[in-house]
Amino acid sequence: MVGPAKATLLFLGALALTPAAGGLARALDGAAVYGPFASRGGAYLATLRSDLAPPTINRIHSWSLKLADASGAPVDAGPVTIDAGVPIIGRVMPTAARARKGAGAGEFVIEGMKFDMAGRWRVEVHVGSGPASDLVSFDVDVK
Amino acid sequence: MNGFSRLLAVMTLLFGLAPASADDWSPAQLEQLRGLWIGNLPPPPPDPSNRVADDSRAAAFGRLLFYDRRLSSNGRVACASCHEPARAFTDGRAVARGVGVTDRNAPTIIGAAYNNWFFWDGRKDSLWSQALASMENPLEMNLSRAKAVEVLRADTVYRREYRALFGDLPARGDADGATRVFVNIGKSIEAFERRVTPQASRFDRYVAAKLAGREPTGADEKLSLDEEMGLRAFLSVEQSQCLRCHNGPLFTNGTFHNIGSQNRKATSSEQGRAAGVTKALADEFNCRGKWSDARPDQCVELEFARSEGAQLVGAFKAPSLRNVARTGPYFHDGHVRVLDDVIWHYRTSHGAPLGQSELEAATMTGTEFDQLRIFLGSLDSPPPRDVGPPSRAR
Repeated sequence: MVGPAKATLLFLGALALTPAAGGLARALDGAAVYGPFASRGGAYLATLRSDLAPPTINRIHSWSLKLADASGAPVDAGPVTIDAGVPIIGRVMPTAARARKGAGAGEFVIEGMKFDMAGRWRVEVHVGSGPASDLVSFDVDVK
Repeated sequence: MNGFSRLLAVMTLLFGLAPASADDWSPAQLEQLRGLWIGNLPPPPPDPSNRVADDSRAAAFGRLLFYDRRLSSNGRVACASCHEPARAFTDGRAVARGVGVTDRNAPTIIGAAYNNWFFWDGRKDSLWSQALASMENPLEMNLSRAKAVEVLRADTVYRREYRALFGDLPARGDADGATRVFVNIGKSIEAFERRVTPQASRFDRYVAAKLAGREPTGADEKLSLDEEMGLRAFLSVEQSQCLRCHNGPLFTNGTFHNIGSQNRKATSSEQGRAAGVTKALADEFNCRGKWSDARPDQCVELEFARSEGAQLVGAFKAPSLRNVARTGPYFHDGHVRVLDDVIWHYRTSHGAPLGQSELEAATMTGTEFDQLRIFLGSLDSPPPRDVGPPSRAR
C-alpha cells in the first residue's frame, strides 16, 4: 500500500511524464465542456462539464462526468477518482475532489474541484478498478 | 527613486534616450490587472456556520468585545492587542504577545472574512472559531469560558446586547451554557471582523484608470516608474512566481504552500497545514460541529479539504499582500523583519528545512527585486470606516 506522500509524488510524476488530451473547453449552456476524451487504454469515452464557466481561480465548484464505453454507450464504470495539478511546478489542487454516481446511466457528479492559480492544470480521472481500470487525462486552462 | 532609475533619468536628459514606456499594458496584462483589482472583489461570502455573521447589531456588539481587555485572564489583553487598527490590524511584533509570548506572527484581519481557513496552519475553518481559540489560548488571552460569561454579566450594555441577540445568560456553573455564550462571543466578533474589508489602494486606482482607458492623474492614482516595473515583474510568469499564490483581488489564494520558511530548529510546530487540517477536521467548533449554524451540506471547504499529501508538510497559508509594507515582521514566525528580506528569501531560497519548497530559483535582476518591493508599497490603504475602538473601549 503506497503511503499518501509517496502517492502524491507518484501522481505528480505521472502527470509530468504523460501527455494529455487537449483542454480547450466548449461553451454549452453557460458551462464549460471538455471532451469527449478517449481513455488511455481506449476503454472509455469521457465528457466533463464544469459548473464554473470559464474555470476561474479560488472558487470551489462541481463538475459532472458522462462516461461511455468505446462504442459510446453510457457505462457506470465506477469507482471514479479525480485529481488535478500543475505538474511543472508540483502543484496539486488544494481540495480533495470526489466523484459520486449521478442519476443517469454513465453519469457522475464530481464535487470539491478548486484551482488556486491561473495556468494550465492537468486533470486525471481514474475510472474503474482491476483489469477494467483506465485513465482519462486532459488539460484545463484556468484564468 | 533608486540609483538605477536616477541614472536612467540622467541619461535620458543627456542623450535623449527615452525609457520604454511602462504604461503600455497588453490585453492579457490588463486582464491580469483586473484580476488583482479591488473592483473585482465581491462582498464577503456568507458564513452559514454563523447565523449573526451579517447582523449589524451583532457587529456592533462584536466591535465592543474586540477592543475589550477584560476578555483575558489578566484584564490586559484584547483582540486588538495583537490586531491594532493603526498597524493594519497587526502588532508590529515578530510573534504575538498576549498573557504570554506565542510563537506565531499575528496576521492582519483585513479581508479575513474571505478566508476559508484560519491561523497559519489552517486549523480553524471559521472566523468565529478562530476567535475562540485565541481567547482560550493560555499564551494569548487565557480566558476561561466561565469568566467570559461573568464579563458579560457584569456589564449593563453587554447584558442588554447579548439578550437581544442570543437570549438570557446562563446560570453560574452551567458549563454547556458557558460554552454557548463563548461561541456567541466568537460569532459576534466575527460579525465585526467581516466589516474590516480591504479598501482601495493607489494600485487599485491606477488599475481603474487603465481599465477605463485613461491615463492616471494625480498622485493618488499614479505609480512611479519603479512601481510599474515592479508590477510588471509581479505579473510576469517568466520572471516571478508571485501569482501562483498571491493572486486574486486579495493578493492571496488563501491556500497552503511550502516556501522553505520553516524554522530550522523546530520540529512538530513547523508541520503547518499537515497538522492543521487534522485539527480542523476534529475541531468541536468546526462547520459540522454542534455549535455551528450550518447544515452539513453547507460545509463544502471542510468536506473536501485535502488532508493527505507531501505538499501539506511545512505548508503555511499564503497571506494577503494588501498593506504588506505595514504588516511586518513577516512569515509564520515573524523571523523575517523587513520586506527587503522577504524579497531576499524569494531571491535566494533553495529547498526547505521541512518538506519540499514550491519555490524555484527566480530569474530576476537585483533591480527588479527592488522594484518588486517598491511596487508592494502601492498596496497600502486606509481601514474602512467605523472599525476603530468604540468610544467606550476599555
